[in-house]
Amino acid sequence: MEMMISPSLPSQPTKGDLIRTLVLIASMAALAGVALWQATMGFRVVSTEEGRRLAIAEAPLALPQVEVALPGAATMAPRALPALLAADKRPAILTFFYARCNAVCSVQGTELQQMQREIQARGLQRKLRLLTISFDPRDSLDDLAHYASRMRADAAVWQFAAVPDSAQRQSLLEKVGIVVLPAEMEEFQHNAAFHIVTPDGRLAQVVDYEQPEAALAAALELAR
Amino acid sequence: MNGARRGAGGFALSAAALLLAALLLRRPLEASMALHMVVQLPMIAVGGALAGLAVARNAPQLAGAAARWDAHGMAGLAWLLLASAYWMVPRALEQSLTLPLAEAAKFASLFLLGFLLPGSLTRAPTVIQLFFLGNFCAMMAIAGMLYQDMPQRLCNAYSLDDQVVTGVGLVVASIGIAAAWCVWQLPAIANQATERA
Repeated sequence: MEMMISPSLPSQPTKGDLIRTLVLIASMAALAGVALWQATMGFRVVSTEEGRRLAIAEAPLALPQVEVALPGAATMAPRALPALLAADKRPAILTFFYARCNAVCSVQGTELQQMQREIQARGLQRKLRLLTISFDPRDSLDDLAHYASRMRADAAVWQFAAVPDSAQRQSLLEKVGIVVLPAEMEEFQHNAAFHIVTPDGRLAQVVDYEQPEAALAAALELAR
Repeated sequence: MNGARRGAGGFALSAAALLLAALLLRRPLEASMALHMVVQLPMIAVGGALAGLAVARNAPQLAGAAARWDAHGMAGLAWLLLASAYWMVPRALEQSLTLPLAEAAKFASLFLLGFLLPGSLTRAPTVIQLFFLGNFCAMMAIAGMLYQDMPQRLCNAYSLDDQVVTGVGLVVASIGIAAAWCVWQLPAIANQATERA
């Protein structure tokens, strides 16, 4: 039967052709399946942001040795970020922002303000703290101090910091997975979230910026 | 034969030009989600298709061998669904920006897709074409609508506006491909119908 079909008639495939084709399709599907498994972290995420959050939740991330500067006379000299975090025994809720922001970080800023109020009202000052790092090279320490006073930030609860060295700033953003896109009107578009940092300075969890209560609860869990 | 050879040369040349452009203009094209998905990815696939046509003209025996592995064009059309679905996953697309291996896989998979597709389409009966292309267009249109409706960004490297434009682009492309297929295939289907009647 197979022999009767001429190979010059490609529209009439033999049984052997069909089997070969099915084997090829199965291998293609297997290859695509493995690739998709990798890209979706085991069919669990679709976007890069979900992937970043899942990876951090599964394996807490040691923050890189970058020098940060804090506004205020008491801490003039830049300090290494992990040392700064480790010096304080409280877990921190870390956020990234730029002081001129009118979009997502002003929402986040308002939420942080409410969070500070909540921390003060519930007397949680000794359990956790807020740390906000600017990724905008234009933000001077004065700008941060102004922003802090505008937000009525209580320095015992909520601190601000900048990373003066641009290469270090970039490496911190890359390590944490923050992508900053220049947008119109000298604004930026960036992935905003609450980053829960353990007292020993490791990034343990990322909580969506629309869920401040969950961020507070996650940080409290780390506090002792 | 001579004419076919000359045609093959033209195909090969335009294939090389398209692929080279997709590669060299990588940075500007990939800076925008819309250009990345709706321009660069099709560029690679079309480059592959032109390369496939050049090979088919120059070495028909190779095309005959490909047919042994592509009964009814099903292998090439299955690869169309698999490769296009993969690169519509936002994290997969974004990996091609940061991982050189993912970028290489993107070029290879879409080149292969284009390379196989012309042969597969000539081998595939209308019903099989309809099944695979119907699925492909539906998938792309749904992805396009999702991209437009998502309140949050799917890729950290691309803005929300860009994502919406890409969504529109995918829907338009799916409609365009479906319409082009109809224009191409409807006369043949009509002929079959009149022959039967």
